[in-house]
Amino acid sequence: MGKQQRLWLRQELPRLTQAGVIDELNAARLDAWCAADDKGEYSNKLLTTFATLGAGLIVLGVLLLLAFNWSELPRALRLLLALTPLATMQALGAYTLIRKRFSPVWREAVSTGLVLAIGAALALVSQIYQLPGDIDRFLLVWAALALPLLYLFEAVAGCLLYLTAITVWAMIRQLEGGQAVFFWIMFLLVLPRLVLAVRKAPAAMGSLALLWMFIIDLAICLGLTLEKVMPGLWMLEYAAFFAALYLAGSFWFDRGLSAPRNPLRTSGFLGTWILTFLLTYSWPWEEIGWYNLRTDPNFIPSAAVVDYVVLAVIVLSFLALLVLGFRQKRFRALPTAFLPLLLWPAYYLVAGHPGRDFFQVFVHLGLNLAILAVAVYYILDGYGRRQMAQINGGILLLVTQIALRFIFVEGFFEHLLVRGFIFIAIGAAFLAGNALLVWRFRKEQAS
Amino acid sequence: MNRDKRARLVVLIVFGLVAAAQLAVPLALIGREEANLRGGELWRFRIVPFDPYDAFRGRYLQFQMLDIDLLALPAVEYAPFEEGDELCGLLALDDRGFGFLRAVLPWEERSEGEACLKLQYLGDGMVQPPFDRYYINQARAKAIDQAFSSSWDTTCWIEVRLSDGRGTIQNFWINDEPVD
Repeated sequence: MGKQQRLWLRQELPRLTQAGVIDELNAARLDAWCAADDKGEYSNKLLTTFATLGAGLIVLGVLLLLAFNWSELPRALRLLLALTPLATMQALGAYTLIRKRFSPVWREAVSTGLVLAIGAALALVSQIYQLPGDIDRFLLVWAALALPLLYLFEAVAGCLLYLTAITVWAMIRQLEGGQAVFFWIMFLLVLPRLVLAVRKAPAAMGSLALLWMFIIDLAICLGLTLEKVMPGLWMLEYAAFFAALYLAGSFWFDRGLSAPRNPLRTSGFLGTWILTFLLTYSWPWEEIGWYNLRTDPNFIPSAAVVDYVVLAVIVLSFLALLVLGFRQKRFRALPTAFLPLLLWPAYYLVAGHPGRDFFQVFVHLGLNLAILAVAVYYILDGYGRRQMAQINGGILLLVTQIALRFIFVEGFFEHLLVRGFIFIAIGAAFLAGNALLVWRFRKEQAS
Repeated sequence: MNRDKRARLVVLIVFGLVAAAQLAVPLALIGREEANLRGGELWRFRIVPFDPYDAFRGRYLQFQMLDIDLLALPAVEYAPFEEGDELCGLLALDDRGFGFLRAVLPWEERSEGEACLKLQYLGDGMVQPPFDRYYINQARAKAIDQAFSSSWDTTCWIEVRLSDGRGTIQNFWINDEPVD
């Protein structure tokens, strides 16, 4: 039973006792059972966190001791010291799989230590033989050797290390002018770990932590791995990505879950709206599209094919979720997922007519109107369903939009007269809406 | 044997293979470098050191190799190569006994008996340096860095064992004194 359900049950116990559904003895037993379960869950999380941190810190400490470079010691002894943490952690790994395989504390701590020990062994051997830098190759070999451990130990912290390693690798590759296509292979290799965890226990702490890690990593790497031959492709990619996350979170996870417990929906919502507000400025729209293809030797056209494949996969996933939403008549999630649908024609208009400011102004106005429409819809729909959180969400969107258009202005909105008239018109529309609502409430009360 | 026991056995076997691979990678590195140190030909290369820090591997001396420089050759020598090409840097000795780059050719065209250093072409007359660092006790790295930057007479070089184009640094010298 989840924490929320236990809390609810404990709150309901006095009412159930008063109504005679259960007697006081049973109520006391249920209360004690819920309390014990709460305590157990927290102790487990605490133990796992402490053990993982402990194992990780010990390996890192050993690493620092060895990194001191004991040049006085003979090479053979230094090599032995470099490989000892790895061999020790491997022995502990075998012990964990044989004797402690049902203990998440052991599995997490040992797998974290082992992943770090692999990196330590590789780094120290290359230190002893004075091998040149090559950090990207080091990260890739480290990640490849750590990958099977993530499955064998069902590790969570290990996944974080793995994702960090491949992300830093992609970053270095792009910074060096290379291409980071291989990131997607490494990412696909670890993806089943997430799928298995979520299918096994979707509400478990480990699954949620993994979901957050994967989402954050993807949000970073979608842009990072883009070859950027066609400027502006990132807008379409991120818009479809966040919208797909939001739809998946809305369809597959309970709507009543708190924001941190529904990573797909929360990140989809935040990402979509941050991107939408970002796109109401002109800089993302400048020099985009097929008339502005980058031909510099740093941009590799063959690698750009991967950009289009990734974009196609994300857009198709989004469309599939959209169709699912319509089929299952789950229309409430759709307004937030509107961005990709607006963005495709907007991108086509701006990219297809370079140098024509009219289309940019048209797109800016369209996006601003769309934000306004969705925010008002949220407020009205939230009122209709008595959902305070939704009303507040709608108000927050409106306030953000007003603040951005009033303070951080540029382009079309810089003109004080234009802005003044727009603000007055929208203000008047809100007052009229307010009057309409008051009239309707009075009519409802009278009937 | 029941299903659970069989699954455990499979997990253990897979872990054994993974553990073997994890050990095999550093061991293969060790084997390759030891072979170089034992059987490689001894060369000396002049360098310019400075002193950065690596979070994983501690204090080290980073250096530039003075005489492994494609730009010192006529441009026509490296013009046909493209970024990423592997080259054989043909070596010769100067009058002080230090190695320098006398010519380059494609890696596949190297011939036995000629001293050759494997290089990777980065474009624009640049190559990936085959050696760029020397790990050293952190107290001494700083001192060497200061000694080098405070005196123009200081000469540093590395002693390298070279075998089939691959080299392993054997020692680092500063003003005729070995560091290790």
